[in-house]
Amino acid sequence: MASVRTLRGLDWLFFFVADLQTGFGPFIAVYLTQQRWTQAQLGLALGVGSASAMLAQVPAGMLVDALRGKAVAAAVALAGIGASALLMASSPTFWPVVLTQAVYGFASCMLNPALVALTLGLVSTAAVAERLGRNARFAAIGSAVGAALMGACGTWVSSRAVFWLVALLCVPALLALRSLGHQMASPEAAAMRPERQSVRDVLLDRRLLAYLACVMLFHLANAAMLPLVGVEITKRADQNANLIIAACILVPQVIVALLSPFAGRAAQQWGRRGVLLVGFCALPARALLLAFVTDPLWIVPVQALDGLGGAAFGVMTPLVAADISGDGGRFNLRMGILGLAVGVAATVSYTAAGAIATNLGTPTAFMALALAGICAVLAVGFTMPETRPLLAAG
Amino acid sequence: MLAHTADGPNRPGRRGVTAVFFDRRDQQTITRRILTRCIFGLSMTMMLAAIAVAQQPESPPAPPAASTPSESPAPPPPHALLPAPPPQALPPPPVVVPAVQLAPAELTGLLGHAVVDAEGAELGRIVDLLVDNQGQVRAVVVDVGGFMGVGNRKVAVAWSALRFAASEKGPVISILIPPDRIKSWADYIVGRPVAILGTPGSGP
Repeated sequence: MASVRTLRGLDWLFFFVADLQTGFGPFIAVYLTQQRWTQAQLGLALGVGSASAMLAQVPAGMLVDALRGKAVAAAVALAGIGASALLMASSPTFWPVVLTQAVYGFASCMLNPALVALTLGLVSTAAVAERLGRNARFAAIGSAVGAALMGACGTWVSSRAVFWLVALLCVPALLALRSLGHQMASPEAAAMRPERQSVRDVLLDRRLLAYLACVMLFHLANAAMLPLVGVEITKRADQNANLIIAACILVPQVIVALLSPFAGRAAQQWGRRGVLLVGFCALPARALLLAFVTDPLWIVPVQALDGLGGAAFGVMTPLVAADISGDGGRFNLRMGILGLAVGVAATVSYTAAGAIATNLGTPTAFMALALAGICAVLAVGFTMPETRPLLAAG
Repeated sequence: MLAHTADGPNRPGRRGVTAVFFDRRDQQTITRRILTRCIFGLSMTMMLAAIAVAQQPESPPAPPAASTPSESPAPPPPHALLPAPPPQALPPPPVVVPAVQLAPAELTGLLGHAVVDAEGAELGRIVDLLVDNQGQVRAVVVDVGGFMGVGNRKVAVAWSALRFAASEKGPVISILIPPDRIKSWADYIVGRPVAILGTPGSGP
């Protein structure tokens, strides 16, 4: 099977990819404001980014499915992200940035499924769950290091330097990808199967639809929590607000890094549904606590619950998609559909929670998110089937 | 009966071990070549971009203001003794638009400009100006707080609460209101009543 060195390369690959993707988050708004963009221009450019990230999910998934060399797909996507970062750093004017956002959206939609598909090709079916857990661990460490590194870079060097750093980080990512090229995919890997189900069969699969509903409800509840928390902390804390928000971002990543391999192993031993239930239950609990906790220092431990849900979601999504694809291929299309659902649910979450927070107050918004979280748990409990494949000899 | 289908790589639907082996090596070589080219291309692009940016000035210079005042039309020659032209309405005189040119250090754009507190620590950046119907600037909208873009809020601060001081890097705009008051003030939301912080009567 895959050598230890190859698997080490896979770890580093997930680390660097998560690392460089942190630069393209909400930080873009900060950077462009410093470049004297008006709010209207900013809204347009960011809107193009969000639209691109959502609309590109399914086509990018289909493209990666069609390409036989998943490593090539990942390399092209990484090069695209690097080029976007370079363009963003060197020409922060309107049309180049719009182009950057469009290219980055498509490239990241190609990259994430391609990396998971590569993983599936490198390990046997029984070891997939734990391997995905390990990937999620390194991705979480990469995000945490990325957020800290780029925060420091943005504060002490310049905002523009953050994008140079992102472009620079593409090089070790490509090198890590190159080190994987020595190993051929295992023949029985689900993601590499040439047989294809039709798109219609993919969409009508009851297991996918059930998981889609769970995932959408999860993100409906989860996505708006961090921004709302951030605003609350900015309102209440004084000098330490930046540090507390940084802790709120980093602590969940640390928890995800610690718990993900365990989640993967548990999914293999006890089944996917159990892990999903435990992880999703953390969500309404967190929302209810955030509705009532006002001291900014206490918000950080409550945010740690985000790590539970994040670990469950991060490991289960590629795992369930791999389980369902086991018979007929089309793995990346399923990842694309799930990605699109996540994007739509997140957008609805931001808009609805923002409107509720403006009109009815932030605690009410958190209660509404808790309600959505409870619906997510119920969806897992009642509609989600167990997708763990029955292994022939244990 | 002849055996049309023989074992081996040529049998349709079955790929022998040898064929897979050759495909694997070709695939690896092709993959490695493409990856190497991607790395090379990205490195070259980075170097070129670095050179390009190093040669540009940090921000593009603002275009100069209209440099010459427009001239009024030349007066008619004094020696014209032709018969008086038939009385007709004269065309309206062209509008004279005054213009002036200033050195770049004397003016600065406000959008995106940093705002500091009384001690000089950065509070946030100006993202908008609020003007009333008579053309008076009433407030600036400042984006405060947050880490890496998470938790940023917009707050409307009165124009009269801003202090402008000169420094070698351009004007320094400071707000004397304590940062806690600014950070806990109501959000500025377009379309809703605007609460401007810093006017007399906004409380202690």
